Amino acid sequence: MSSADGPKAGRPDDPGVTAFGTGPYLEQIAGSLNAMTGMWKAWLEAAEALSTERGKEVGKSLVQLFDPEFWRAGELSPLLEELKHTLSFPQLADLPGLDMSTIGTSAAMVDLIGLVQQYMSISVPLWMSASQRFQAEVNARAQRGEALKSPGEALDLWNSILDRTLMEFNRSGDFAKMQQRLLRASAQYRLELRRAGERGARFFDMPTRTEMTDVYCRMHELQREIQKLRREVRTLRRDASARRTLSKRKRVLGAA
Amino acid sequence: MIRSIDMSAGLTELIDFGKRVANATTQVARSRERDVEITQTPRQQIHRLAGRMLYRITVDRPPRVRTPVLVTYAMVGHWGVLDLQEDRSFVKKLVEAGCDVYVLDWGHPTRADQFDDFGDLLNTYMDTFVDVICERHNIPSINLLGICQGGLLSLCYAALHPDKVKNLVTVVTPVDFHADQQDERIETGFMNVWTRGLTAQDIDLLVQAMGNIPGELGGTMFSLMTPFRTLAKYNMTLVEAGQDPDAMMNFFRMEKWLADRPDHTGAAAQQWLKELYQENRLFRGELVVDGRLVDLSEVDMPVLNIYSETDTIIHPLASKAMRGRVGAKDYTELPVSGGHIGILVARSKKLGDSIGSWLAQH
Repeated sequence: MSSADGPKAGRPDDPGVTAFGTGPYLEQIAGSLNAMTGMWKAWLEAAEALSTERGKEVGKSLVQLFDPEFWRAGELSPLLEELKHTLSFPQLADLPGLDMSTIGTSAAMVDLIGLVQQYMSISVPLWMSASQRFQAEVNARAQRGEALKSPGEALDLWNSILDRTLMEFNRSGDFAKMQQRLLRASAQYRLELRRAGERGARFFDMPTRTEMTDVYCRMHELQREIQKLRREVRTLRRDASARRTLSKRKRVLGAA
Repeated sequence: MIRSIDMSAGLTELIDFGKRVANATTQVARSRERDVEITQTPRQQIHRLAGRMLYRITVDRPPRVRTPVLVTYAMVGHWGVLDLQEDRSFVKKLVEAGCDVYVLDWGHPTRADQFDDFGDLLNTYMDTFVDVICERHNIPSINLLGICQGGLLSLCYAALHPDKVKNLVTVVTPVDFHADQQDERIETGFMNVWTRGLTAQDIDLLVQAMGNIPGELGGTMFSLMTPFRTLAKYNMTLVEAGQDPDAMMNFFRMEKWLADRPDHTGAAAQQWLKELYQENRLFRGELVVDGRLVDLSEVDMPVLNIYSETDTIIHPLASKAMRGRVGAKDYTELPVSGGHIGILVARSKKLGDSIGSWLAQH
């Protein structure tokens, strides 16, 4: 701090200066301490804001990661999307933004892998169920005196029971739920990949999928317009031809 | 228990199976992709519009039905199944039954077609092709024959343009998409159950991510209907087919058709899955195409509705629901035996002859 800006240094002829000249120094120290307290207070507020606005949210999200129920539900994307939102800052015009885009792609991929594992976990018991059914059917047949005669017959029975068990499962609510989640995760992963690809495309000055889709949409509208005009032309031609035929007939009849 | 099984018989069976596997392996080794050909019946391209084609089957046969027939198959599969091989060609059998046959080929939609909805399918492509046929033959209307989804499109077209349709034939065509709930069977209506398990937002998300609905997704759905049998065809069925070169080639032709699954345009798929499978709008009289209500009472031309009681993809009740919904006074139902695809690739001429006879009488 320069002397020009800071508290004025005491001079002996200054009426406010004590004999030992300690007052101004104490005041300076007190002033500095006050200023420093203000700074710390500001930092504490910043830390509190970060903790409240970001840390608490992040913490809440991260806690979920240790919850087995969360992994059973198997959707990491919404959590990481929330995390991305929590960690985001407004874009500054002349500074690069904090690129958290890969979070989305990775999350979508983790979701897909998780779902495949879950699918495995619910499909394994199906094989046990098919085996039990097969055993029960073989026993029932034996009791009825219709025992299986050859391995081929046993294989046919096994195939038929397994197929039926799988068909029943494929029509169940569990399977529908799993299919729905798989479909959502696959679509989400594809959309995330597209976003990543589009960033690359823009870097290499290549058209993006979004731009192409826009072009297709415009092309479709134009094509519809052309077809509408063509249809109108066809109708006009047909009407004109009908009119020509009619007037020709009238001329022939008139001449007769 | 399986103690009753004769082990020596089992060994004989195993040895026999080993021999059959060896035979099948020989057949596979002798087969080449280029030898597997479908859609071999002679045809001529009459018109092309943005990747959709209109063909005329050019087999020379004396015509019994004067008005030409436009055959429309589903967009979810290639029309090639209607002309799988010489003795299993539905279109050829129609020609032999005396029909002048045109075929609408939806082609292989790309991302550029993703905004094509029912309005485009009906009022742009089908309507243009119908006009082309009418102009070629100098007639005001033609016969429509639609199969599965193509049947639904033909039905909607007939409702929107009744003056251009002389007769309507629908084959394994869904009308009531919730009919499976009246008669739940494990082997039927899987697509209905699966689609109802999704929300409208799921379908929108899928289309947003994919643009079109990939053909592979449709293939997966069909595989899930009979999951193990689908896989078993590559061991049990293939081994059986491998005992005879002709049977093997038939197997490969069907596989070639199954592998060629065109994508479904996104906008039309959204309507197909949401407005029909989920909301059942056509049956409820609420389907709107290009701002016009599809009113089935407008279908006042003679209708022949063909369905199969053993169809595992389209529940017979879903097809039979057409009765009483269409305005036709001349409405005929024809039950046939066979599967959804089986009736189209059967060697029997019965189906083609029935259609030819009905059209000749109308």
